[in-house]
Amino acid sequence: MARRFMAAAAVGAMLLVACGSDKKSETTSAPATQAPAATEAPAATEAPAATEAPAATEAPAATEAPGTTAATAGDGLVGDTPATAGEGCGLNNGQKATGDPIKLGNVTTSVPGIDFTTGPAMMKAYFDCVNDNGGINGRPVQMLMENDNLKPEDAAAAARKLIETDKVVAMVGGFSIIDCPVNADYYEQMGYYVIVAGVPAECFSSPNIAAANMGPGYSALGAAQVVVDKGAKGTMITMTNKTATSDYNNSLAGLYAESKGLKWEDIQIPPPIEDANAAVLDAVNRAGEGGAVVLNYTPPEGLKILKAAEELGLIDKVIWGSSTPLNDNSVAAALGSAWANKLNVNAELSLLDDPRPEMELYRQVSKQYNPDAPLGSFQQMGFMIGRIIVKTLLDMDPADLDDPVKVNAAIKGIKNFDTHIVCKPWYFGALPDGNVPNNWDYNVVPDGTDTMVLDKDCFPIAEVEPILTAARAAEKAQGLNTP
Amino acid sequence: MPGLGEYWPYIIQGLAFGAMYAVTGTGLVVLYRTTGVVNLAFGAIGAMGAHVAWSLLGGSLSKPNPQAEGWRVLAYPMLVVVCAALTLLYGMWIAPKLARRDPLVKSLGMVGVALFLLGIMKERWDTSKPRGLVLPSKKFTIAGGVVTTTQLIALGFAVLVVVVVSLFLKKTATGTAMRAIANDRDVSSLLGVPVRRVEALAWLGSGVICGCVFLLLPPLFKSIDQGTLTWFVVGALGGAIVGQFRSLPVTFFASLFIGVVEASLTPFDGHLAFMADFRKTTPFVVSVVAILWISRKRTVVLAGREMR
Amino acid sequence: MTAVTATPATPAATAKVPLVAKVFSNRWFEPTAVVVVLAVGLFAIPAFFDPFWIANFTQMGVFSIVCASAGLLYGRVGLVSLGQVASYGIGCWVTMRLAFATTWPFPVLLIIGGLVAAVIGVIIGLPALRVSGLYLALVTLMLAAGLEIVLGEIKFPNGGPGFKGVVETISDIRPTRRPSFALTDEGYYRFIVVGAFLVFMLASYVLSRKPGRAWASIRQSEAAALAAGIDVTRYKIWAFALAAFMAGVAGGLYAGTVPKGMSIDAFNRQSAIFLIAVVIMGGIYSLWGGLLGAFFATCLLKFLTQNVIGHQFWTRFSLSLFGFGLLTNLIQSTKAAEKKGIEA
Repeated sequence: MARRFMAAAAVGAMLLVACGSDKKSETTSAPATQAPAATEAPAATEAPAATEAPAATEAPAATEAPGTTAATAGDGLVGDTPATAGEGCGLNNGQKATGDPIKLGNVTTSVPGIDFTTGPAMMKAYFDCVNDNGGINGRPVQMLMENDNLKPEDAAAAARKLIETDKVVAMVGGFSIIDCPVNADYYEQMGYYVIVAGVPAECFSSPNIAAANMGPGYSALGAAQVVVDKGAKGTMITMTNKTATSDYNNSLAGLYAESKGLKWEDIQIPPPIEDANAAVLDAVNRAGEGGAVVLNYTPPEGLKILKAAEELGLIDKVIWGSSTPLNDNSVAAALGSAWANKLNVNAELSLLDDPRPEMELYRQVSKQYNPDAPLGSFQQMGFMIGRIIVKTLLDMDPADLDDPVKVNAAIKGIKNFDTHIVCKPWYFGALPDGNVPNNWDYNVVPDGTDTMVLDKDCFPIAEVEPILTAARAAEKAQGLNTP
Repeated sequence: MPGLGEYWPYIIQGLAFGAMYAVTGTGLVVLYRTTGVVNLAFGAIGAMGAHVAWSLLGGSLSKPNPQAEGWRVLAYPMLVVVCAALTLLYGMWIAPKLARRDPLVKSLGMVGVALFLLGIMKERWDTSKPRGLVLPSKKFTIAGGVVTTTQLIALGFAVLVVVVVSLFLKKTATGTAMRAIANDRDVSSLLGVPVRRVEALAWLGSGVICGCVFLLLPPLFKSIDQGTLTWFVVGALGGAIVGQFRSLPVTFFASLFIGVVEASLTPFDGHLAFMADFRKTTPFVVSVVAILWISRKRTVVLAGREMR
Repeated sequence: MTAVTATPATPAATAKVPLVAKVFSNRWFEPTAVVVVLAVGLFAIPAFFDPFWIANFTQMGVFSIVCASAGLLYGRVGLVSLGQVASYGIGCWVTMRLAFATTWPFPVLLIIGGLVAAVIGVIIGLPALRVSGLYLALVTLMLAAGLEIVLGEIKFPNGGPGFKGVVETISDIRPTRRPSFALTDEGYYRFIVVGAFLVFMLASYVLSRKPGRAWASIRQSEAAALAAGIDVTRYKIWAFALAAFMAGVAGGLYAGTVPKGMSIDAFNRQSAIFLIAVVIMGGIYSLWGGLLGAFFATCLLKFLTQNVIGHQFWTRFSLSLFGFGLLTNLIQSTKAAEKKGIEA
């Protein structure tokens, strides 16, 4: 009796509260955000979105001659030309898409200390823009995102729900710590070719998964290359969250440091960090004067370390580096003048104020469809994945759009997709040892006020392990990323 | 491993955290002794106050909202007010409904509150953004290590709280009333002690202490983390357990000890690296060892209250 | 059972007893209910639900054992342990390690995991035996928090060598194996249903024998039990051992639901506290409470998340729901006890 009353009261209370808070649609991922810190869009003038005459500079859907390997029927998209000014979203015709939605799913992590929903939120913003501009030949694109709560059983259940219950035709735009290890075998079994923003190693060691980014492993490696370049000596310390898969995060950076004659030590701290002062003091002491400390964190955690370093006067003791998540203007603003030019952040993606048309489109879409979100690399990745999948779907035979087999074949065959968001044209690859399509990057530094600025232009990530070496060989042999 | 001179900053850091454990422990012990409730929602209430204060400050870690300059003055006191209000609200409205139950059930009620508040925080304040609460702080170097005023304030505050509360309990009429109620609620009531009023005061006091702790914790943690702040109370139980929820001085020193040991293990490496890895278990190891020792000859009842 | 004849019926007792009460108190009710639930679990659910829901019911089955273990300690022996997630975690780790290190049958691994958890539970429980009530709850919470950190440090085995069994390179990661007769998700679900059934039967059996009766009198009054000649310490140890064994077996079953990418989230501080909330809501006086509590924590929650307003809202707000539920439950039971005029 009491239990029934309790259950009813609980549901009633929840309904009351739910009515009071912001309504969220089932498919939206945008979390309830506060007005963000002022991360202004750069000076580039903004043309109004989606009302230009279509530039019609895209290569027609008919496949181009692919190069040395023969493209078989059903390979899907082979080659594309980069975005041009005024291109807009999708068909760019200002008409709302009203047909049967094309369902795309993804598994994303959102827990205290680690919230990646900002990426898919931007992808959805792009989909919204596409849906306002004709969709995929009149059909809207619908994003179904599942939170894995960092629980492996939830990640497994989420993938099954999306693929078998919701019947999504593709899995794209997942930003998760555990989706790849938990579900890689399942995706292979179901024949899905999944585009993610990858974190753990399994996102780069499975033929069925390709990432828009290079993941913390390669990104920290890029940071390590830069700090060594800038004269780090003695010892390189790397730091990251301790999770089930965290041994991978700094392992490649470590291999590189050792190959250059430095000592390497990896400090892993279970998240969230509670004693940042002690942790950073320890890290700097272990690195020694003139050594290097490379961080592998998202902004909330990374800022704790950096702020503590500033408080303790440790900034100038070592050379600081970081993987890509700290490439975010709000981080630059939070760091302020003490850190001007002192933090080397590996940027897997182009600068937020890059003037080229693809980035211009990103800024426009962000302003119009995702206004509460700051400009940042996670959002860029989400946007880029959105661009890739929409172009892929647009180039398919509309009759095939509900067939996961055909859609995934198209995704598998993506080559030479030049976005200007990553250094080299993007491809899926489906290589047997794993895919690393994004393997050149930039280095950026905070400018002392509120922006990250370019410090070093596109350079290749060092080959310290077999997966990247094999990927580079395949790129050459199959012409996968030739612009 | 660093030399002794380089250990200094770790010890200071440890003292600061230990001080926060100590103040929390004091708040827990005093409330428990008066009302029989272990305030397991201490962390959640404090975290709630911290989030409210953050929102009042304009909600930005990087650049405080210029329009919020005026609000900033209010934000910090509001933190304490929110914590005190939430604690008092529970104490006056819900606690009486469980007043006749044993301390275990009453404390489980606080668990319900903690979960309730944690859910609200998760829903209202998304976790992708970094959040922090910064107190104006100067740093200076003592004996080769950097010390901040926040750390010193934390330590000084803990000493102040323990001294003031101890004196209060011993020397004032209300304090004596609290001790009487802790001893035997029913008899005290018969003797004319205004039990409800004194209990209300205990709840209020606990709430104010909570607020003060959570003014200092976010600057020490360098962030406002819902989970970390909420479950901070679990680590803080260590000192209180060693003091058997009875002795404030023991709680104070045990808490400081725990904080210092935890921080000092950080730079261990080589053969002893595992101690650095497992340093976060310090509150739990210490409290379990203490129990082993205390209970070696007899069954332990919590602070004199008979329990089933 | 006794030879004494029933006392003459009072006028009140000859009033009509509601049919529901008659059914519930019939001695065939519970066994029938067990058979029905087992049948529904084994046959109806896989037939009517899709893989997503089967995954949820799988989690419910595993978690029901943990809930029942905590409920047993609290409701039948009067001991509140907030450390059941520690036994859960130990059983999970041991089963995973042995799954990689040996080729023994999976059920054997489960039993070993349960036994290791039981041994550790007893060793750790021994000092805790000398403290009572609230103190015990706090100490077990500390133990669970400590183990959370230990598990986070040593991580979970994934096919590597040595004691920890953690691999060096990513390409060496292997999935935790499942029993050869339960490799598919649906097969493993059925395996869990059977496993849960067996564990519940074990608990039920023990409760109906001498330990159960001893626990009942310990729960009533420890002093009286001592006076009656019951070895209170020994039976408390038995209680801890059984509860830890149950949670350890559940941990091993859980390992099979997550072949890759196991994390410590199921075994942390928050889970420990969440568990007790859910257990109290489900009911501690009967093993069925374990099933109900697990239902709240898994299926009901997922149902709300998927179908009721505000998708992500429920995932984040779920904790509030359970906090509110716990409080309401405690207040209600106080009121009920006061109405009956008994000391709650």
